[in-house]
Amino acid sequence: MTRKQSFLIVQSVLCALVAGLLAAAALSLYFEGAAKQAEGDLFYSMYTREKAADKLLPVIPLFLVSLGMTVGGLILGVRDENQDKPMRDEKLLRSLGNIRDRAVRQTAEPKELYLRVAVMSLAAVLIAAGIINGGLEDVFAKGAAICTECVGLG
Amino acid sequence: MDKRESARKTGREKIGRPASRRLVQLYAALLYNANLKGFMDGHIYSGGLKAVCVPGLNCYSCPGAVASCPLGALQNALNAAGHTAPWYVMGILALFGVVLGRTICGWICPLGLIQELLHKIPTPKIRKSNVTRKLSHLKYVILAVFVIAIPLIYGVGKGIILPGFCKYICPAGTLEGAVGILQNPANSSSFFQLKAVFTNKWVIMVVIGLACVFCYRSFCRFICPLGAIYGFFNRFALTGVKVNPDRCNGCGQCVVKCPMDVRHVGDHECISCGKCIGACAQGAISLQCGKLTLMGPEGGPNAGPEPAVRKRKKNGRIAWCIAIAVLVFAVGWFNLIEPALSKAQPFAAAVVTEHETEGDSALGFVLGTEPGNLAPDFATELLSGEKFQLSEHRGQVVVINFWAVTCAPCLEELPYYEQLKTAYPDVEILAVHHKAGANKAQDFLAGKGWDHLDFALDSKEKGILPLLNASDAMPQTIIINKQGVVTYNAQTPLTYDKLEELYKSALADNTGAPAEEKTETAKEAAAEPTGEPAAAAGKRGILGKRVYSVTVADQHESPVAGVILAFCTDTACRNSEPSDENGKVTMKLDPDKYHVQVVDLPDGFDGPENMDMYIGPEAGDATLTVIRR
Repeated sequence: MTRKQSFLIVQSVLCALVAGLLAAAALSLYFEGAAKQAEGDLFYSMYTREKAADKLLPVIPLFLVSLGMTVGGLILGVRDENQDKPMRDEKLLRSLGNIRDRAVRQTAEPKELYLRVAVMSLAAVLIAAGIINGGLEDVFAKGAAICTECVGLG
Repeated sequence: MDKRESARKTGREKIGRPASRRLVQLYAALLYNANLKGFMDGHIYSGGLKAVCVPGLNCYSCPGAVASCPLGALQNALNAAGHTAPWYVMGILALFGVVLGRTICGWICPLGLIQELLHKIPTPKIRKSNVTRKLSHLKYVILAVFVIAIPLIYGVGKGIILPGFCKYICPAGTLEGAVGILQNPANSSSFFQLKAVFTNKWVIMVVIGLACVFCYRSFCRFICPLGAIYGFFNRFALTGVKVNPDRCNGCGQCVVKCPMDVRHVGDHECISCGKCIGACAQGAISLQCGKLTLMGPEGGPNAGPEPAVRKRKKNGRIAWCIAIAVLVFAVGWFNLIEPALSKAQPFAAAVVTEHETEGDSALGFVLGTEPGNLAPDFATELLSGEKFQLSEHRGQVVVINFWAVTCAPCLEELPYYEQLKTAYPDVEILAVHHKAGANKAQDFLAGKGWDHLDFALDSKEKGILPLLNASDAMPQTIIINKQGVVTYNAQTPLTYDKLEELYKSALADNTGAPAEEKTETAKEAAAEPTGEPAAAAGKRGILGKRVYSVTVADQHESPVAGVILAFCTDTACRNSEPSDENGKVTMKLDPDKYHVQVVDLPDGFDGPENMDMYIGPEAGDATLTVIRR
């Protein structure tokens, strides 16, 4: 195994560890809280700033090491060269068929222009109809307050 | 062999100019999130621009976001399709799709940028294959199920707001919205809301992030329903990579070297990143907007006429100058100009009388909305046309609930307030609708039969939310005891059981009552069979609070009466009542660490020796020593 491969593998393990610890931190807080609530403590807070900080503390050194290795790797140009090599999946290559024909047919399609104009016109009509029927206000109403269920708070 | 040829041989193409694409991605991320002060003050932008969607996936609950997320808006519109047809959002998506197609994904999506930066981490990489191509169809399933079916079925069929993708999957919502909100200490009470939904979304975000390290744009390729929508328009979009049929020889290098799961240049998986432009030895591919070439081969025999390339570069420089000017204006507008203009609007209904302020300050109360604070008085007009004044409800427990018709948890808990008012007629309940979408509230309430509740609509002019320092995160509930002192304030949905316990707790709470009244209230509370017993010292009470006890003594260990202390966290302080004849000061507080400071000393005493005294949940009774002169 070359030094570069070792570097990449160590970095992979670090990334996996950081991700694992981040996920485990949330899961442990949740299960602790769920157990407390099951005991009848309705107001037990699963997450607090302090609890989250305590759980995330062990992640910081690993994250910093990983970040340092990333910066070092980028400066030294360490990267998986395989990602630059052309695709070698024969099955996939076979499925490509005649690329030129399809790409060119798509680009040179004369109906493309009409379709584009039609969709643009339709979009303009839809937007106007939406402004009239209150759709614009609905978007504003949702966006102007925090959507707790969207961000995972609710 | 020239440099370009050499680069092609080694597979390290530079011709696609990823650096300029990265700059555009950074620019777009900053423009979408130009409300930088939101990260500082913890509030989201709620101006009129939120009625417009940005093209990329950018959570509208991110404190920096100045416009709405098209995917969130689409789910919300489908949720409400029963009464308002979702024309507006569909029109916006069609417009973005036909003008830009998936160029949006490759160039102006903040989540795309994050994924690409994660992929920069040097690890072994998973290359595209038949497996990844099959996985790329998953996003259409997610689009059909989580973005269309769930919001439609729940919204139209059951009347429940459920943005399926946002709630269960979207990592942009978790990263930009939840983390963006929670990182600010001003939103600490939002932590109370975090439960299974957050845990689930956090784990999903971490897994997606990890996948992006190893596999290029994993979220974009396999999961993102917005990319799936724009993919439908890619074939005829105005902007995108195009092939010159006169030059293309069908070698397939464009597809072979493309990191996305494309079958040919410009298909529904193509994000127009431009890597194929550098990979094409024939110089047959370019990024076009109509007839305008945005990016094409530079140098070499297929680069096109030299004046055309020079003109393109010149146009590019002009475009950057305009773009930077727009960004500077946007940052200035959202962070400096608009806040200054909105501050000029007075709160017509928010009035705290001088008499009360002076009188209550004399009792050692701080006006505010934290538990233990005296709630500021305000007046507002109810939907029924009557007037509500908080001070007129002294002697009653007052529950103030902040809600919005667009907030699913709010709508779930509103019936509990009606139930509480029916069970306990003495409680006063005021439900204040957020200013956004307030005109829809009356339609929503019609026929609900919630006749016992007092409903009010907030507005920029009345400003009950800012007066009570309420968050934009709904629902929020503030409970005020009979003396006007806040006993509970949290942004979390409540069940009926919790609400009832909180009400009973507030009923038994005698903070702010004169001494003789306190005795009476304590007796009443003791006689109330369902009431909560007062929290014992060191034990957590019904509100998650503990009674902290500090003894104030002089250097000879004699107790000192009449000392007022402040219990401070990093963000706020609460003043105690003066220490009693035994030097005792007790405070009912959240289990937290507090820095105790002396606010007021009787004559003949100097400040304490142990100025930096901290007390925490584990500490027993603490002693603070002041110096007797």
